[in-house]
Amino acid sequence: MKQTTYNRHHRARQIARFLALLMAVIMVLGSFALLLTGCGSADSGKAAGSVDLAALKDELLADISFESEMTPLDDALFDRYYSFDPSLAVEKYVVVSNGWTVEEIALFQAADETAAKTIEAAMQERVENQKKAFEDYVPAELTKLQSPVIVRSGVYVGMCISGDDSKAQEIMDQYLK
Amino acid sequence: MKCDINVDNPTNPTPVSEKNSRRARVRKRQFVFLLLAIILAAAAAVALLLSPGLPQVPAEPQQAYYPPEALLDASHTAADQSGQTGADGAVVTLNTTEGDSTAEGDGTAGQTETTASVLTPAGGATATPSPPPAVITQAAVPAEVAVAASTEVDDSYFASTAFIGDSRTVGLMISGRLSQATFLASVGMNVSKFFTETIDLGSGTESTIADALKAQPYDKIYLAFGMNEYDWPDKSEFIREYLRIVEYLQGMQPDAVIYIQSILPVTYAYEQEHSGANQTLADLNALLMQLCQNTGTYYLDVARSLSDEYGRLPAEASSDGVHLTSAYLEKWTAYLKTHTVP
Repeated sequence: MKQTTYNRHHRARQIARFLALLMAVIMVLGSFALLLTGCGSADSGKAAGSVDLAALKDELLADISFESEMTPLDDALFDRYYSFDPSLAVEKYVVVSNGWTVEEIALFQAADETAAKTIEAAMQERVENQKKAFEDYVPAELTKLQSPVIVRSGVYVGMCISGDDSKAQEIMDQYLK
Repeated sequence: MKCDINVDNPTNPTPVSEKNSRRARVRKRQFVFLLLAIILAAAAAVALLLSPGLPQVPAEPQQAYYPPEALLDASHTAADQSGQTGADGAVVTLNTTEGDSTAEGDGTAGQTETTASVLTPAGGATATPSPPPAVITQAAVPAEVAVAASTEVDDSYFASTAFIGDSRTVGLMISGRLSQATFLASVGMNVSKFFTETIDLGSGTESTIADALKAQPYDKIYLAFGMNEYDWPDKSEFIREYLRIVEYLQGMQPDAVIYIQSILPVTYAYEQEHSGANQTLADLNALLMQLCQNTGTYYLDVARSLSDEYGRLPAEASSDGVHLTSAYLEKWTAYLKTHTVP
């Protein structure tokens, strides 16, 4: 009887120890999982080689003070802004000013790296066109076009024309570098 | 008798009553169940975090982004707009006297004086309220060129329609609200550049507006010029060039109904920096009414529909004082859809 009671208590303690150990393992594994998924980190838009362009667009809009109201560009107007075949981009976000500033955000995921280079060239062309359009209209806007932020990384290409190039570069690098 | 179980030393067990033994067993079971519950909860939390199909917050529909400045602009005070702040309780007085318009026409050019006084006493004492700005004098639209309110049309009404103009029309284009229309507009466009300056028509095509109109016939043509010309020293040049455009269109597009849209006003804040701008724009609109009378075209009084009670663009309508916000582009579109000729 005494031995039986002892055995029962001993087993209970063993079970408790095992469960505590199991919980500790689960918690450690959970912490690793959180680290891997990058939950709450600054690199939230970048995971396993893919870039969350929508999040990048939102962050640029939120963290940079654009003078103009910014409007998503209608697909029907795309060819007025960029000279490349839209099918080169599998995903795109273009947000433009209401027409009176040169401010613009253009983010693309190209079909491949060759397409990404074509898109980058089209962005440079867009900048040059804007310089021509604004040199007589609002010359002050030309300062925003002096060193626009254009970043290409693999199949991703991003451009941000604003009055805050350093902030735009910082955000772009966070996602695309 | 009350005693404890000495589980560490089985060779010297303490006597245990049957009742206490049962209690101990129950406590142990409770402890095990509690541990299991905690582990299950932790495992569920980890599984949720690791799950690739985490429930996503539905994305908000795409909508125009308003920078903070645009919101601030709507709350301009008289002191903000005057650009002067009184120090040490000084009274700041702003006087804006507009020059006489040199426009030819019916002599509607007016002279307006705007006075705003702001008292900012030290210690934050009561300020003298600013008098309201002077009302802009606007000519009445002659009945024969006016477009009365009509039943609202849908987007398909604009399928064979060309909108021609400057950056304000570009704003209308970008808003995407008249997606079936053709827009022949660019920033900095004015009545003099209509025949000479090329604009990007998309797909690598560049052309002057005049040449672009040769490409296809339109049922309706809407013109909107004036903001880039209002400060021209010779107002008659603006009207002469406008007339040249209208005559060209009537020759090139004989079946098209031509609407001349009034020049939209600017905000009071903008007017403080560009003295007399609103009255000059209103005077030019009076000349455009005459142009419509002389050419058999229609005058669309969009300006009045977007103005405040003083004849100015409300502060909330524009972040730079000239170009419309999304909400006011919507109002502009609504006016166009409810003012058509059969």
